[in-house]
Amino acid sequence: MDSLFNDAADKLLANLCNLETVRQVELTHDAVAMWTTIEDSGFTDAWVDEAAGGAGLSWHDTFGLLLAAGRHALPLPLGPTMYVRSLLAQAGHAQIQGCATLSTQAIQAPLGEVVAHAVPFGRVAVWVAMNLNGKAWLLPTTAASHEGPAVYGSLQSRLRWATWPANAISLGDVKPLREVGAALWAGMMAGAMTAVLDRTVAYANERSQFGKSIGKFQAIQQQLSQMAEHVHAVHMAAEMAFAHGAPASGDPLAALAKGRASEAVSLVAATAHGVHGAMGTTAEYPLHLWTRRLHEWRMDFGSEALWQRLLGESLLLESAGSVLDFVLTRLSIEADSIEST
Amino acid sequence: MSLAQPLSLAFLPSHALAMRQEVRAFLDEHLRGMPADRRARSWMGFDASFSKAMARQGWVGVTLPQAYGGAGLDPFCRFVLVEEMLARGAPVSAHWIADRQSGPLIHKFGSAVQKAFYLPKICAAEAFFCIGMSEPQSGSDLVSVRTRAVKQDKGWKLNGQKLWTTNAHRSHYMIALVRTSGTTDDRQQGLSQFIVDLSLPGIRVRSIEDLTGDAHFNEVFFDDVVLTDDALIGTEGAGWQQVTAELAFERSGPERIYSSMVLLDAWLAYLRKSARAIGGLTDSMARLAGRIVIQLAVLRSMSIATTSRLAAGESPVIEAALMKDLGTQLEQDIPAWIAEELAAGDAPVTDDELLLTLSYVTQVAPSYSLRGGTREILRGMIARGLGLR
Repeated sequence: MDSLFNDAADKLLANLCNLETVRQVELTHDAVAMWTTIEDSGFTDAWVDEAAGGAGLSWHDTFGLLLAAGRHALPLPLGPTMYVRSLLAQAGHAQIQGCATLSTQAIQAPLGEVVAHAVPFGRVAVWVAMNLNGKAWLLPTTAASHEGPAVYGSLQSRLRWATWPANAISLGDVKPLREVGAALWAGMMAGAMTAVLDRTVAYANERSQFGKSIGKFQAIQQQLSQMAEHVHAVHMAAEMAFAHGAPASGDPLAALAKGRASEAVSLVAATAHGVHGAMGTTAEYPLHLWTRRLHEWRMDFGSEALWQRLLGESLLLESAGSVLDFVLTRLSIEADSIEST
Repeated sequence: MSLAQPLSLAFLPSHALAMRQEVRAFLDEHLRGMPADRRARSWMGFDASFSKAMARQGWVGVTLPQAYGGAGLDPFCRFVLVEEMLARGAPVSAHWIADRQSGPLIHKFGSAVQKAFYLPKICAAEAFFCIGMSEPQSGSDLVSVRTRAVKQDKGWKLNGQKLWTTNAHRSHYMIALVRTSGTTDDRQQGLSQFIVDLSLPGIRVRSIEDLTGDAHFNEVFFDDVVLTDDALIGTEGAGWQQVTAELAFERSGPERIYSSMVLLDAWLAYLRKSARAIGGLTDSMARLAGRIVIQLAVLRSMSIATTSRLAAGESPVIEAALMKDLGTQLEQDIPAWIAEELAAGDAPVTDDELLLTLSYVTQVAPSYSLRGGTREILRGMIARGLGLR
């Protein structure tokens, strides 16, 4: 990882995402000012080649940026935009203005209407990348109508384009958006879980009952320790998915990362809320900023059920050797296989 | 993160990876025909002749210097060697304790005479060791040990009792944690470690049969056992510090994730063969296989990351505790999940080797989170790392 880059990104996002601003964006869906600051910082072109004016960094170099996006509850699709901008640069296209998100649940009706369901960051994104009829496209959200469900604070949206938008941009052949989304989301989830763990430990040390802080009780300690174990595992799983660069279609490490991260969500969120008591269920206390994201992100690009099944089928049907052989050939990172700059 | 530092990706160096093929060829030869239910004993499977064959390869005392007959290899090489051995269920128990703990302990704290005497025997698989820690009144609260060595004009006199001592009945030596001064009220103070020759007069070993019918752990009684001065290992009174220094090594290795691997491979082989013939591969079978392999691969990366910190001279005690708790949980989940899936339909399971393996692993699985520090003790350590205690 590139610590200079990641430290700078963390600082920027920490300053940008004070909790009041995050809530404002979530309730008004107006993120123009926040996005302009990010765009001006140049982080959005981290994966664009230097020759094309970017930083030319690898996914693994910039893993810390996705962690930071999750940790600071950034209400914008920074990782997806970085991916889309790298695609545009590779294709020699002009860059887009505004941020872009990914959708793997877009359907085109025979008359041309396009509906993208449960688009993450759909309320604030300016563009949505999707595969339609064997090609990859970028569609502008300005030409779409937003439909429910209007979950309090959520940035998710169902987007409907009644007719094909004139300024849609072709991205060429189908792109592995599900795998890319899985890896990016795993990184954000690792960051969000870290924030939840830190906040819950701090709360357990502050909140006093029976004459001492509740963190002194073994029952609480055991739960928080178990939570920490899973957060560490998710962190490792996510880093593994970033090691080889942008995932390809069927990438086993993206499957591993999203499968492991999604699997941990229930335990991590439930433990955090359990320790926080009623306070954690209020709108005022910020715990829900992360737990709402974690519950949504668990489902985005497939829950653990999808990724476990896909890897399990691969293990049972495509491999005849031992489990260790499968792990060594598909789910292991070697020093010389890591993508670095 | 609240813990010191999250574990970051680390890599096995190429010289360690290069060992793998050689180890596999050795195992192909030596494990031929051994049924899964026997291999499932993993590092509890005792076979002195297998250990001697490994020693001839230079694979016992792998991290000890060549001057003592060791292989002088780094912890990464040991990781690959141990990973291959455990994944296949090689019967490594005879030399296991000496290779993992006693040898490195003697090398680190022993005198020149002790090193010259014990280490070559360990590397030749001629000296098997056991560890005398637990006692009838001293389990998780290890500092409360009551076995006592009293200084004599020459040497020491040892009295007391150890319990749950794995392999005491077939080992040559025990490294025992005993009290040499003060009382149990002095807690960590006044404890020392001794190398006890188990052939000495006054020592009685009584085996305890386990719930599967195996006999691997024991009661050991010391009745006025006379020890020479050079039985003391390290510094008198520093026994606790010496013991804890070794624990990160004991807790972070592949043995904390691979105890159910033989069962897992047997189940997958069964699915590939019979289940498809019976009614096809179901989503729930595939999903379970995927769930296990994902957790396993992540734990393996965490184990390599911890090994890398150990190799760099750090002491990642909290990370090792965290890894062991998570790893042993998966080891215990594997037999429970496989049992559930095998009996999910009406079709009878007729693969006796698989059923025997499942039964064995299911019954011994509780020990996975007892040996080397219980779940509750480990979580207490993690809580301290989180700043809660």
